[in-house]
Amino acid sequence: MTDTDGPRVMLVDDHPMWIDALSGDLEAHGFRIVATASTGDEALRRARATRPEVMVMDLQIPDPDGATCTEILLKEFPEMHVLVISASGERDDVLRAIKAGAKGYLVKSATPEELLEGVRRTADGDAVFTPGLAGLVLGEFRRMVSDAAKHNDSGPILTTRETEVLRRVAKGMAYREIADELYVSHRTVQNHVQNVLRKLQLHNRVELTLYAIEQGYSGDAQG
Amino acid sequence: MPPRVTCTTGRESPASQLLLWPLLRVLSWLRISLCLHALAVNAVRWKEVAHPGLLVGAMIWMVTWTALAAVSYSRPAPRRRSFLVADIVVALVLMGLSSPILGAGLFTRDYLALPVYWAICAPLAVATAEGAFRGAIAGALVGGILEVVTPGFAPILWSWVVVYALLGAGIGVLGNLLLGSMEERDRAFAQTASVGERERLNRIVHDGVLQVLALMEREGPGLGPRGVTLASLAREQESRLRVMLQDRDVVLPKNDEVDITAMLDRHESSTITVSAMAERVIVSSHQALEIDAVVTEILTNVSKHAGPEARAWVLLEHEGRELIISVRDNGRGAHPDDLTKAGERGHVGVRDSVLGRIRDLGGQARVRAAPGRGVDWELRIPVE
Repeated sequence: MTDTDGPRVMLVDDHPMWIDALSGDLEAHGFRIVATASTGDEALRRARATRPEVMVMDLQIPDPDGATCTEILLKEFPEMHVLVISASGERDDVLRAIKAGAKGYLVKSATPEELLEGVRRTADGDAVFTPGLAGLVLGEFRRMVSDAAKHNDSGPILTTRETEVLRRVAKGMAYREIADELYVSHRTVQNHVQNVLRKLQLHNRVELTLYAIEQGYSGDAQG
Repeated sequence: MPPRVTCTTGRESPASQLLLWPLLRVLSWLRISLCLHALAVNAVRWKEVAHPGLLVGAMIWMVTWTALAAVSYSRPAPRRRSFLVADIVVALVLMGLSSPILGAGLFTRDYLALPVYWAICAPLAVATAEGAFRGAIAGALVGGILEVVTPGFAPILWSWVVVYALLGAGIGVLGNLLLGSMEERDRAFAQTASVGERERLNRIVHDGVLQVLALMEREGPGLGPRGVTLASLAREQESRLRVMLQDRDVVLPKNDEVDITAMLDRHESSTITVSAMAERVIVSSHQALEIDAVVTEILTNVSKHAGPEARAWVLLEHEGRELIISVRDNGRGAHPDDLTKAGERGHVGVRDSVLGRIRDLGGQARVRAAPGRGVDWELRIPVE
């Protein structure tokens, strides 16, 4: 391990060759690999011990799976930045990890440059929004809105501008192109994307709390 | 397209025959019992019968036919339908001869036919093998023949028609229900099996092949020009494999409905990204096939005209009662008019064929294109 003061990264993947390849690349670019893990149990134990700033999490690992680990770890360490990486993009799992607070999602077939850039952005606390993730989040907001309409309350709503930005990301446009088309700055586009993710995660926390309260009430009623 | 697990359905299928077979054997026992009952009834009224000789002949024929039917229905015969027709004809003849052989006086006293209740077995066999409707028709025929050969409207006479028709229909419906539940069960079995197998393959492939392919993609470019080629081959195979693993086709809720997300996911490749929501979007298979055909057409156009470096993105959204499908590429682009001009020159332009298909689905299509800035399609299709 090198003695740089770059971001402290932990890699979770059940494939040693992946960990080797990725840690080599990251260390060459100034990141510090503080721990690696190949199962969910290991990931939880070692993350608690080493407290990395950035967690690169493979979704398909032996029990508990990557999405569950993300949920558990972000509850314990809300300041941790998680980047989800997966070989086969199971949309449900990706969405679960993102709702729990992961910063972004990349497929393993992304180029080494894309992966490196993704980890770098995650370390900075930025969202790593791929087109696939944008489509997923867009769909999730639509679902929440229609769910809320069924219960006659107002769910989390995207602003028109946020929807416009998200749709363009999902259609593969770069932030620069989106900024040009909408006559806004590059930074504004980035802010919108960031906001959307925050809204989704915030709503998820509110829902979990409400659920907990409901469960508590019904427990009281029975007792 | 990967092979799908299918179940053979319908009364003609071997599985259905296997299920109906025991029912027909039960009917044979009913037939034998009712044959003995008819013999007993006719023995009791023997002295009053107008033509005892003919009655003996009819009874011998009834016993013989009962034996023939027992043999015929005890195995899945290839020409069963002709035997069913013969069965009905025999029942009709024996019923029709009731009044002539017994004598009008004896018959009209209690309207117990020559074969008594034995004749119901033929319509029941038809109902079992051919369904409720034909069973009801056969029942009405066998019951109605008494009405035809015996003048008068005694309530008991037309009651035969009603009872026989209802029995035929009832047994037919019962058969349908049995077959239906069997098909449902088979479908559930097939589904569970294929989902389980898919998951098993998923694990194996994920643990090995996918990882190696992804690594080849990563490390290849560092090995020089041949490594670059290897990496691009690995990338191509990896995205194909990923699509296969994601294919959720095996979890079909019903035969005529499909998940459009799973269908569009198949287009995913190293140059095409498909984005959608996490939930499944169920549409009729007709709609799904048409939408998929349109998307395929647009993507084919991209690969033909957008240039070798072009990438494409497919986005599926479900808003209220509308599906919004966007297909965008970052290729050479086109002048908006060029997309229609192909039609004027005698070819069916992509625009026309896309618009035509979308119009048939009751939807709208919009295309934006500019030279050097790719082509951007937006299709809006109403769904339930």
